[in-house]
Amino acid sequence: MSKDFQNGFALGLASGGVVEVADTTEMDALENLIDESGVLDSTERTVSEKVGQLIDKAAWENVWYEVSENIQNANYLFRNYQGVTIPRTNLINATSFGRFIQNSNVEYIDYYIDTQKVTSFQYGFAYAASLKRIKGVNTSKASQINGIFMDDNLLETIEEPLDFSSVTQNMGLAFGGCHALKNIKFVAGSINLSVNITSANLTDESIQSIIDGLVTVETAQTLNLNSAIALTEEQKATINAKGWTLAQ
Amino acid sequence: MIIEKQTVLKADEGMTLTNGEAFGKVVYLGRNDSADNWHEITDEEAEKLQEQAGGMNGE
Repeated sequence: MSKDFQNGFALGLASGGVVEVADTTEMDALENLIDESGVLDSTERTVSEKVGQLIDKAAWENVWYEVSENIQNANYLFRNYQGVTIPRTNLINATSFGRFIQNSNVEYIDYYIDTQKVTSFQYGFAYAASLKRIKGVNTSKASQINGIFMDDNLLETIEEPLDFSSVTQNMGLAFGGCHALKNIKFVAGSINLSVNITSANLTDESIQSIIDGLVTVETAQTLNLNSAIALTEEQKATINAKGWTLAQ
Repeated sequence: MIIEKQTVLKADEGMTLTNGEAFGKVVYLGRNDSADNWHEITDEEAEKLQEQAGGMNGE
């Protein structure tokens, strides 16, 4: 299904059921999925009526989860989305992921987004001014994550550990503007390039996870933390022993 | 644990140290880094640069 249709479908159901479709083949495909899902009984309905009846949240999300497995390009998928959370979306086959919830009202995402094939998350969750927490996202194959959470000014929590072990490109702005960030974790030894995590609100656990996340480097790399973060001498020594410059 | 002597850079009053990407009042140089990579800018310049780095909001 085309990106525009996916966007329209998602936005339409979020706003109360009005779905505009430019391509009848896409509507046919949707109707087939709805019929095959068995969610609705066999009473004859128009496709629009079927879609309208999927306003029932559980039914809609079952169909959407099945549809979304086909998505390869998840760029802008929930841009401008009005809901406070997005429906459970299967991105296991996605290869692109950028500006996913840009300018949306999304406040939280309570399921892990398994983007196991995505290699670029540039501006992935960026410009989501309402976002406060996410369960997590699979960045294990990502070579590019710069700006992934750029300007998510209310973001406090990323629950599951982030894996930056495959990153090869500049990621200094991955957390730019994340002034509210408190809870973040990294897979140990997965941070290999300079990173700025300058929230003054990081928990002690988060700070230690960042330090544990650093690999030992052989080139000049910098960990930039807020000056208000009080590191122990042992933590500073660990950062130094791994070859990192610490800027606060 | 052996703690080797480490070079620490401290910015003057009203100034911020930067290497073009990171910003701080105090910089603990790693063994692969050099003081030549860092220079001072005013706090106002630093704040402006950091805001601009975020800058594309939306597009």
